[in-house]
Amino acid sequence: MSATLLEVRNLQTHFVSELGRVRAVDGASFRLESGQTLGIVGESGCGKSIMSRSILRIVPHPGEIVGGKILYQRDGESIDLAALDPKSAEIRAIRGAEIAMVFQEPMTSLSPVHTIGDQISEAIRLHQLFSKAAARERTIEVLSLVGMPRPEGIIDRYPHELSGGMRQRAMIAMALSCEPRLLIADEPTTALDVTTQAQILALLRRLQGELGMAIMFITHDLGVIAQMTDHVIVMYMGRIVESADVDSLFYQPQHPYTGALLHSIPRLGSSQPGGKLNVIRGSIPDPYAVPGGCPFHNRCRFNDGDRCQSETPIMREVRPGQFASCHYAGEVDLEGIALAEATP
Amino acid sequence: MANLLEVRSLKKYFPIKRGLFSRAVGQVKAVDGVSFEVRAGETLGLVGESGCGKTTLGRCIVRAYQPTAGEILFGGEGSDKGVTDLARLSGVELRPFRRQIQMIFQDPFGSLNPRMTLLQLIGEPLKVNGVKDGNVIKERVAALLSVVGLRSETMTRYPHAFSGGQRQRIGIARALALNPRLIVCDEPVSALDVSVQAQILNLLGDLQSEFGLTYLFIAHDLSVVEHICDRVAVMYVGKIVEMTETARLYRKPRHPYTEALLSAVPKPDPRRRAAPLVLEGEVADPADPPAGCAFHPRCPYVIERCRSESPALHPNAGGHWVACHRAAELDLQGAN
Repeated sequence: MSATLLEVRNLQTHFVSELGRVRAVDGASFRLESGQTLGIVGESGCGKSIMSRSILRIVPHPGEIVGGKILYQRDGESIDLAALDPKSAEIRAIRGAEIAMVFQEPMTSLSPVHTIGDQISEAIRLHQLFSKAAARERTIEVLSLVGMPRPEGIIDRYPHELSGGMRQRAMIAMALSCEPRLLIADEPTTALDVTTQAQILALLRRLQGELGMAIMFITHDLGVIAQMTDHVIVMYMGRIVESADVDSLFYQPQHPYTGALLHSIPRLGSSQPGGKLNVIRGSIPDPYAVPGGCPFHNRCRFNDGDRCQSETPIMREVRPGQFASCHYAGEVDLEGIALAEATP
Repeated sequence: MANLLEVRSLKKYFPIKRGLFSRAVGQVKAVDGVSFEVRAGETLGLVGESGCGKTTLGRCIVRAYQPTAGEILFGGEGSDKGVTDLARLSGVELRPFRRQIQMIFQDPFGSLNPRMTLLQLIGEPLKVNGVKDGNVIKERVAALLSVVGLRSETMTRYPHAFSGGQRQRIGIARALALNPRLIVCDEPVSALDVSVQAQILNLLGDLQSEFGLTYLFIAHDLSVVEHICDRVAVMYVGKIVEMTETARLYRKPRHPYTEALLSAVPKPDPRRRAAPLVLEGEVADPADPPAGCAFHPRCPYVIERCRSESPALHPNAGGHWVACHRAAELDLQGAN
């Protein structure tokens, strides 16, 4: 049994503007073990990115953590990241060093006016006592760790001189330069081509094996979730609707939203041309006007027209280790992916 | 089945300009000798990674670009001998054909004018093509909106009031306004969320059977392409490397690049965690493609001949076209 690295309890991150209040993260609780790969899946606007930014305390203005705890465990002591000042020395010592992040778009998250080497050695010298020369050496070391060809040459290049895949490798190198205990990867391969995506996913898998860090993998791509993660959290409208190990989630989903998502994607090697995909009706609700009761009720095919519309379901354990927030979880008949393949 | 479109040896080169007088110092061979046909009523998929030339090819066909060389033979109405070479027409001569070939774009946020209402957006192609009566336009727009699954009362609203999926429906309604024969769909679902993507794919399927449409479906997502296309052409650095029926291509690919593409897609099944065939290196630069086969620096099956001699696209048994010197001897892995 591995130790808990991070525990999020009833996290609430809200955005308040003249248009109203958006509950981007609305009461999320989960636990992350050290060395584990946790997947967070959901469609745009579900709060998955804001949740990860809440952990690092880099939520963009006017977002604010208004409730809950983010307990980070280090050497037997527990630090509540949610209670720290986002500008404090304490969080800055953790951010980038112990918990690092890789973003979706390496072109916008790397500085265009500094070389790759300067940016990585800055991160190194910020957190560790390294001389300039030693930092440069360490930079070359991490660049070769991420499979960068000719790291001695790449170190003096600017981001625009590199391809998308190379930039993403540079960003991963920067994130890993201080050997973090947790790497948060927010859609790290979404902007990349499939063959480049395969390279980056293989790289992350290898690095995790070598360095033993925990990875929080945020994506909308169920394929990436299935291939990369141990445990999965499904988010919808700022809430966690299901939490399960990856096998149970795909083969025995318990929340109607999870079930519907699994069947709305075309599956490589098994779809028939001209066949119909199962559709989730409607679209994601306006974040300023979240439906009452269960936030998914107006798109759910099991909506009972009564309790689902009035009472917000709470997370409960439906099967051992598998949690879902649906009044009818365990009662409704949801198909996992194995059954879908059997049907002609 | 009759061919609606035949593309022959199509080329589109973009000059690379440098210096004070913008002298051309080189060429990007975005599309470099592509030939294929699209049969009436079918969906032909065009897949490849970014920079392979698939979008440029689509834009040549709708004649947003003037091709550098080659023929685009269109068998639609208004041609004298049944077929017309669109590549040689310009300006006013193209007009009757523009109506018959429409395009759906990737980005539903960038492709609709934010200052026009739906009535203006969808009615504009009608107006341009001579429909003057405002009531007729209104009726037609209302009908088009209901065809794509939007309420006709929404025609007075502006695009910002709609979600990504709804905007894509607006783009589709606009493309349908003039009863086209061929629609070039350029990544129509890649900007959409998965649940909405399924709605749009189903809508495109419904419209095809209702109106007898022919699609050229440009995409990078191989699962989506498998779902919607009858035949698929795979592009790499400006050339088609493989083309055949969808089921055959996915079950038994003959080109090493297709095999790698299929293998690279993360399968949404945690019990099938095979390590993918990871290609080394990156897509070749179309301004400076490698000698011989453009794929040879990344190909795991490369032999000496591949480095010097460029393979031509050859038909094999059953209409399976492959451009690879070793196509006959290799036993490649499909999806599954």
